[in-house]
Amino acid sequence: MSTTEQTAEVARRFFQAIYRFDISAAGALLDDDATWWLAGSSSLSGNYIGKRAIFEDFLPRFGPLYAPVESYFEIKNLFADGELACLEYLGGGETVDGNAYRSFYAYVVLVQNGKVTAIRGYTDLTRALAVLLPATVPVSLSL
Amino acid sequence: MNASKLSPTEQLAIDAVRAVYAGDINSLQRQTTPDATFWLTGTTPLSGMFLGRGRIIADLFPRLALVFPGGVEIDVRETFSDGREVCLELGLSARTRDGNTYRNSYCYVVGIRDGRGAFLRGYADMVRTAGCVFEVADPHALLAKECV
Repeated sequence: MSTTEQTAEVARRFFQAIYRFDISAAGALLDDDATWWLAGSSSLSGNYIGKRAIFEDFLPRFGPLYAPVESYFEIKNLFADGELACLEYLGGGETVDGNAYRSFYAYVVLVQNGKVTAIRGYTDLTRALAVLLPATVPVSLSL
Repeated sequence: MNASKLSPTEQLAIDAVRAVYAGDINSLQRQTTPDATFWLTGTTPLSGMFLGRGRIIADLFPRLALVFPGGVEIDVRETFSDGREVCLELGLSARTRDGNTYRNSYCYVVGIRDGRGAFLRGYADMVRTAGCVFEVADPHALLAKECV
């Protein structure tokens, strides 16, 4: 398997695990010093440094928002070049309030030595804030 | 970003995105196929799918010119490609019609066909766009608005 093929495969498996809430599988693919950056200015956005911060600070923000049912994850496009992968997908699930949440995402994933070392995410957080976190409105819009 | 490291495909993708934000019809015609599509995530007036170069020019260009009368600066932060598609991570900045300074991070995926851009798909946090460009601070209100 070439580096490019491995990068795409690791990125795919990592996000599949995340959307299965399979922390063990996702953690096995994540480097200890990995970073996860989600673009934007809302309470969901930010830069999380290290596996511990990702699993203990970032991802727990989303888990309690979803009902304990299977989440939705559909890859729309995935390609890679060397250590970088670009993943476009439609993701979401049913919220604890019974609302369906879906949003399109683009992620850039850096994979080194078989592990995810950097994740940069881009998505419209409008629906996330309105559906997942209605209590957070108003959001910070300062630049 | 070292421009000398860019492949022709990556440069083409960058030029196509720049053509859109510059409202440059001639450049867009050079960089994209006639049936090229432009899609931007979200529910703002700049969001949605624009099918065909003609619609991009007729519908999107006037909106961009209206909200960003001084144009848009694009900082290319990262780019890579498998030869058929290009991933661009960009920083966009502009002065809005209301005098606000708009800065946002975007990811564009540009598909290449016959040496031209065939599709451009843009992802960004449109909460920032709504607040700064359209002065809508409530995501609920934004969702109630009609998409393009």
